[in-house]
Amino acid sequence: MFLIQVILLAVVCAVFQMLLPGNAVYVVAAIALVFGLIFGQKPFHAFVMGLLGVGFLWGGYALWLDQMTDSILGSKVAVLFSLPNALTLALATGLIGGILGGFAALSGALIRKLIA
Amino acid sequence: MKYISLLLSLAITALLIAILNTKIGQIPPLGKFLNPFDGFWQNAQSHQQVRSAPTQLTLEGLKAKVQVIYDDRLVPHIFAENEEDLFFMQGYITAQHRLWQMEFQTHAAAGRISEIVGKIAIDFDRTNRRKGLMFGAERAIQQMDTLPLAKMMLESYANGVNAYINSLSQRDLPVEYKLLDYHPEPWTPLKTALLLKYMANTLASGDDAIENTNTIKLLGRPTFDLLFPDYHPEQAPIVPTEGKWNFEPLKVNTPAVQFSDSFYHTVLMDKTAPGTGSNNWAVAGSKTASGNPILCDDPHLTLSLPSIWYEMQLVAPGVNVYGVTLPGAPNVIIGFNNYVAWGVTNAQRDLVDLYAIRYKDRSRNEYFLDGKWEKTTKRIEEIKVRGDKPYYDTVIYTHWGPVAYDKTFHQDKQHAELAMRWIAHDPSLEILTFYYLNRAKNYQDYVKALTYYDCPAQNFAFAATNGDIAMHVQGKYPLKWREQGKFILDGTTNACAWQGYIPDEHNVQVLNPKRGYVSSANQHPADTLYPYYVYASNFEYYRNRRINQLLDSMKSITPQMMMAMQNDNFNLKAAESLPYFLAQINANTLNTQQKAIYQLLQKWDFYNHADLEAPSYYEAWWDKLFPLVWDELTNQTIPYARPDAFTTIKLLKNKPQHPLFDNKKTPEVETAKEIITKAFFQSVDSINNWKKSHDNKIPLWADYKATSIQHLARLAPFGVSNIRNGGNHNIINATSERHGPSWRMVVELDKKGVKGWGVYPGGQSGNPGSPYYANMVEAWQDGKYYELLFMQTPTQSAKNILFRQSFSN
Repeated sequence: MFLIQVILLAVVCAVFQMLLPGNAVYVVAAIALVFGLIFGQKPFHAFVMGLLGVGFLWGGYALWLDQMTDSILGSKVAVLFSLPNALTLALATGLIGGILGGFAALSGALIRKLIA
Repeated sequence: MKYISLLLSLAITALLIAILNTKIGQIPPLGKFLNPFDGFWQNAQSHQQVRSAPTQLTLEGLKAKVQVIYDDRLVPHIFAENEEDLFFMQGYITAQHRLWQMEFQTHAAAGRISEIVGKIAIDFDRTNRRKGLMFGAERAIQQMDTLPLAKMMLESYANGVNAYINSLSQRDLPVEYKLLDYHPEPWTPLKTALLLKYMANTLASGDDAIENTNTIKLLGRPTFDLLFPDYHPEQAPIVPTEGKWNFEPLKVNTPAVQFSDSFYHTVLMDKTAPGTGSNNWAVAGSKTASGNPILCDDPHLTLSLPSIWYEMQLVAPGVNVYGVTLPGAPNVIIGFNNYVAWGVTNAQRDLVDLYAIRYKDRSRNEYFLDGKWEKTTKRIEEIKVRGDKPYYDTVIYTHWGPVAYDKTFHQDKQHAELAMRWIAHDPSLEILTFYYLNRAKNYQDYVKALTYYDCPAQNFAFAATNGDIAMHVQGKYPLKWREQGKFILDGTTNACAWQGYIPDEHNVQVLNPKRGYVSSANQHPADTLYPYYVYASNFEYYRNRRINQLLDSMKSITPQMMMAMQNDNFNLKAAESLPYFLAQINANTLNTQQKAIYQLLQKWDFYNHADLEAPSYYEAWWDKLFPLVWDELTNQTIPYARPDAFTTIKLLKNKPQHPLFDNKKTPEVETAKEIITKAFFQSVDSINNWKKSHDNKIPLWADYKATSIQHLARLAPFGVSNIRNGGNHNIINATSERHGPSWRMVVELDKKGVKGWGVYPGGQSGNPGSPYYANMVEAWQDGKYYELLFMQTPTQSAKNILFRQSFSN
């Protein structure tokens, strides 16, 4: 069940980011928050759902794009960020998305708790 | 408790949203930038993605169908059915590959970089605004708007660029916009005019009136003339004529005025960099193996990525032209068609004069001119600064031009108010020159095209399939009396004004000279018998003589020989100076290492090849010697002029006892011999220091020189460093640390089909995430060329066609 929630979050985030280009941060935060609200998990579970759902989506997709292009840009941008390679940059991408998704989902779950 | 944890969680979420959407210092908004849906990851491209571009596209604004064929270097070959569509597509396709660069360069010219990067760029922006680049661009547009043809080109091009900008989603935005967090604005004809002023600033803003005025006051007239002669008889001018000029020159009156006699404590603005120059030449059929003329050109500019040039073929009824374009401007700038080829080098000429202004009072509303008070106009420049309040700069305009230097800008101690008279401020129509050159069929068409060409002055080499070769030193040149503008002029009298311009027919030019070739490399246009006063601060003395020596000695020339010649590393400066330098050294006083270097240099054949050690020792020696010789003019509190390399070497050889060579701070009397020896010891030390900081590597020339191509916004990983190439300043292969041949082109004017070869240090795409971003750098570094695909019909097949696209409304 939890795994399905994570995957569902990732899929819905992906769809809405494609529909609403240029608003990635708002979109994933809003969706993760709504997921936390709907599913009403324990706060910790909601956080992990957001972390993994958005984290794997951002990190995984970034890594895939990088692999498809022989890291032609990822390797250069990694240097700009003083990171050793594109893989670490993709991990950072996943982590940043994940933390945002995690806190947004946590907020949703806490709202649900308050209402309930 | 529930409330507290919820509020805390919401606060963290809100804070994260804010941080991830905000640029903080140099760090881009991380959420926007890193998210893989529309952040930078989307800018990476594979070969496969480039090739699988859609084949049929609709594009609003087109009148008819346009076909674009890309070859395997991503050069677009555009076939349009009318000229409006041709320029529309030139704008559209260029923007597709170079949008960020186009806008950044015009923002730079307009003095708007602070808007993007913050207050660090305020001085840069003020400089370009005080130079009046926007003022010049506005005047150019006013002039071009009166001509339907110019207006059509500019507007069609702008419409094409805007069609591309409007099609952009966040995902497709060039990576630099994402990194610096801003958006492109609509393209306008004014931006094209600004780009041309940007080139004028790059090529024709050299002026040394301030340095000369200070130097002559310091040294006195006799020494000044010794150090800064207008001409050396050893020079090989672009057009050698032995004084025969078939025209009656216009009269120039020399007024009874004094040049300024004071020291100027001014911090100089950036101006044309010393490494900026170029080579071009054309050889007649009598000297070639095939009997066809061959034209060669390699303009030297700051090496940058995205490249200054964008290669294109433009075809429409009445035109089929191939060559390099400037992203942001319509037409091909250097190239060839089925009948002619042309290429440019910078024509050195003093086109900026400074006039000392006297204001009535502190309001600066009036200035003194010929016994009366004239009104000034004030242009208030609002420089928007990212993350800060706007910076306001008032620039005063006089009839001379903008008062570039005043008490608020680049002054130290004293105040000097210096107005700038610059050809680039005048209305002009250069865009028509390129329109007509693109369509030229013969010498007459080329001459007609050049009548529209004012600034930046260029040496236009020309060759045609009918066998003609020519060179015109074209530009709008003020008529000057001797030394007018060499020093700061009195701005209180119109007696110091330019008295007119040299007529185009009187410009230095030659058609089919007896020697069978024409050539130029930024040297003097003519010898001292040319009946007009010619002055520039940066004439070149070496590349031109080497080019002429080679061309004089060559017979049965092939395009391959010309390619080798563009990559020639022979260091004529070393050949003329090193034997003398070595003779000044007392070999018995050298230690083992110094002796080894001394012997290495003795055996050197003067070629600055990449994998030799000797050129590093010679160049290090020269780099130490030059400032030692001119210590009294180097790093002083006020700016002084310094003699060029040729004059310096000539003085060292011919006047070794001259008091100038004596360092006044030491009790001993130094002569050329002592300074040369001292510089040798210092250069060995500096090479040793280099070795220490480079893992004790052997100082091979390519490593020691360390040529790099920097990204326009100085983003290090988007540049290419450690390029293994030889050459240097004053060498035909003029690849120095940061400058070099920005496009090498060889064209054979064969009646049966014109053939071209070319290469530039970059790639067609301006996207650092594209496989076509820097894909030609290696070939360029190795001196290799690509055979250019010059198509005659859109359906023509060739094995190196990458993909085809068809656009219609």
